[in-house]
Amino acid sequence: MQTSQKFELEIVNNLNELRRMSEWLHQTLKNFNIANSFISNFDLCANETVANIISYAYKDDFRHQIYLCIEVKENQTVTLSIQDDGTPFNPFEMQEPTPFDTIENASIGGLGIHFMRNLMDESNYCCANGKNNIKFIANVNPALA
Amino acid sequence: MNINCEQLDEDVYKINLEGRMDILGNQEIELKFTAMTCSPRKLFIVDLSLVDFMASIGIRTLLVNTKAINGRKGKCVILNPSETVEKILIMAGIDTLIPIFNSLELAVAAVHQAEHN
Repeated sequence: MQTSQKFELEIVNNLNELRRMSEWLHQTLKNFNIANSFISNFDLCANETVANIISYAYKDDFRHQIYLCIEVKENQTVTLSIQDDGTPFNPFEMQEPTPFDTIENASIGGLGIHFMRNLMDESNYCCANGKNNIKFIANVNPALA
Repeated sequence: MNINCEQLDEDVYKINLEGRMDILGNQEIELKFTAMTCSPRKLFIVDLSLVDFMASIGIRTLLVNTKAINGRKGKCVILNPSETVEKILIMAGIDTLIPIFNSLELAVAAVHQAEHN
């Protein structure tokens, strides 16, 4: 039977929490000797996702909790789950940004979601019980680094 | 995050960035970056060798300021990003708008050449 280990973190909807989140993510994944390139990919996806949640998901000024969970499986698959109670929003339904042609026309919109889609082997969203759930999954076999 | 500017010759300025260019790091350098790249200066090399993380907000800062520089017939190039940061810049397509160099000499030559075109 395949075993897995889970690590959880709870942060609040304050942008200052992003650094604590990144440190937790790096420390957790480093303990499994996961290559830095994979850790950076998870760090970027987590930063883009949680920055979006904190900036846009809440219609009030109250304190909200955001839950993160890293699951490391024996077969070297890592899953990062992020759950929030903000306005339902599926980032993966957004259109891909238009490729740049000239710098005058270049627009930055959608770049974070572009990273969230393309840095992982699998990215998905579901909304259940009033919570947004985003999962990022990657095979972190060193041969793929 | 840290930022400083050094003048390499009469026309070329090198902007040195250090740290994580995430939403918090970007807040720390955004205004200084714009001030360092304002008129009448026109030719810039942005040294990313000490930047270990680049989020979309950091790319936005590079893009917005390069647009302003190009708008007054200037030129901006990127120097020595780490492998991780370069991968993100290429995935974003930024390398097609802001050339990336791994040699200071080539970067200086590129901004001077752009000035004469």
